[in-house]
Amino acid sequence: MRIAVISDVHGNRLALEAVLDDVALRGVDSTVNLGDMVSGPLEPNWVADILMEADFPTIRGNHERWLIERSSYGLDAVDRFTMTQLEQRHLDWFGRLPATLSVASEIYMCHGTPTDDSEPWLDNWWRGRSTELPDEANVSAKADGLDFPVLLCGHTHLSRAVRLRDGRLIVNPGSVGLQINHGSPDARYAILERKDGRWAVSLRAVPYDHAAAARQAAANGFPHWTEALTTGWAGAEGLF
Amino acid sequence: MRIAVISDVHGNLIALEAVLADIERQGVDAILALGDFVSGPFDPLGTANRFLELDVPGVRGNHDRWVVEGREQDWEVDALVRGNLDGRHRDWLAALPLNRVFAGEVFMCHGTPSADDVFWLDGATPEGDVFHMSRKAIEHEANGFDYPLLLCGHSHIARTLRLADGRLVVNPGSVGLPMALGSPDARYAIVEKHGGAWTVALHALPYDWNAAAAQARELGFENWVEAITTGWSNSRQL
Repeated sequence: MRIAVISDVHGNRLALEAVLDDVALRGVDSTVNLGDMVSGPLEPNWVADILMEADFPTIRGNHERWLIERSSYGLDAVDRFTMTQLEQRHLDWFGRLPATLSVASEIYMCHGTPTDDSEPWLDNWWRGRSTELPDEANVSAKADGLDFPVLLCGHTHLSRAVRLRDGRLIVNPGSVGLQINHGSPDARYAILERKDGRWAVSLRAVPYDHAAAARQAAANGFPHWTEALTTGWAGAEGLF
Repeated sequence: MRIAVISDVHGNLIALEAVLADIERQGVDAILALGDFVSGPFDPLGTANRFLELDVPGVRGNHDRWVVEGREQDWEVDALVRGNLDGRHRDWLAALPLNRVFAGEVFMCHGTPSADDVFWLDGATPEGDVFHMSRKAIEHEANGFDYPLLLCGHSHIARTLRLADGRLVVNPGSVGLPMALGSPDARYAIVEKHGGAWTVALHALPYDWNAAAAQARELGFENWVEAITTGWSNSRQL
């Protein structure tokens, strides 16, 4: 069984198209989607339509939650832009999405951690935006009681594969559409594969026309997204 | 073109065989090896024999150099490995170049393009904590090596990064000695050229790490068991 994992598309159509093309090329049994699909100054409407239509097993990210819960005054500048682009049907869909989901009794999906869609799991992401792996006790504790061989998370935009002592695999596929803190503008996603009863993972980096994506952001009034989109070296500070 | 990239096997033949089987299953045009082939308390002789048989393009790692040449402060693992190898193996290791170019566009090195014992994409503090190198430092090491794809190993940290001018740098991580990544899985990469651009897949593959740990224990390296079965240890703990 092969499963593609996408997360944190952030409205980036060109990156999503490149990833979905690559997924088609590799061949998978299914694709799952970990949220933060639309919040970006690019093409949120197109991304929402495509992902709604694809009907992948999908959870909401913190940004989908904010889009449906907060008034426009409570939204950051990027989400205010995003809101102007979306249709009611997209918001209705977000309202129906669960915070966590399991697939085929083997794969557990959350956006941040199992209990909090805004909390980083595999990276000390809020301490100076560093990209260090937290210590083992910290990572393991958040997996307590989740009896699935594969646990998926997103949110930090940093791809990682960690395996707990009991054999459970935790994977963050990285971000399809918004690269930060790691020095590459390529779109990221992951493919899980069960081999001889055990899950392996490949963390994938797919080049796409990131300069064109940066031009979209600039044309929509967000030129400060250029550094993140075109180099992957920017921190997340000031992007939203 | 599809190329499998393996590095830092460190004598772990069990991990190497798992990775080679996984590569075989996927089909590639070539396998490239980035050094530190044999230095580990597992099966250095079996690993060296396997590489002589594979005969894949390789570069030397710092430990390959130290196994052949020795050094003032010899590492007990390098000494153990040296005692296990014969002339054929030493000749193979001694003949490995510091760097080389494959198919005109893939540059291979162990540490950085100009040194086999210097970290490139990720560094380690004296305490063994791993950190991502700065953009400036990474770009600097790549100066003058004008190939679309630059491959390196040494840090054992799998990472893919793009330089400002579009050159891609890939570290596949370590096949045989996981460090500081929180996973005991064998790591390797497959790079593939599509429409003129390289995509990267960084693989984490489960294998029988308990069997590898048993080899380390048998050779008296109990302190390697935790590293090999969890992947949470750092270089100072070995």
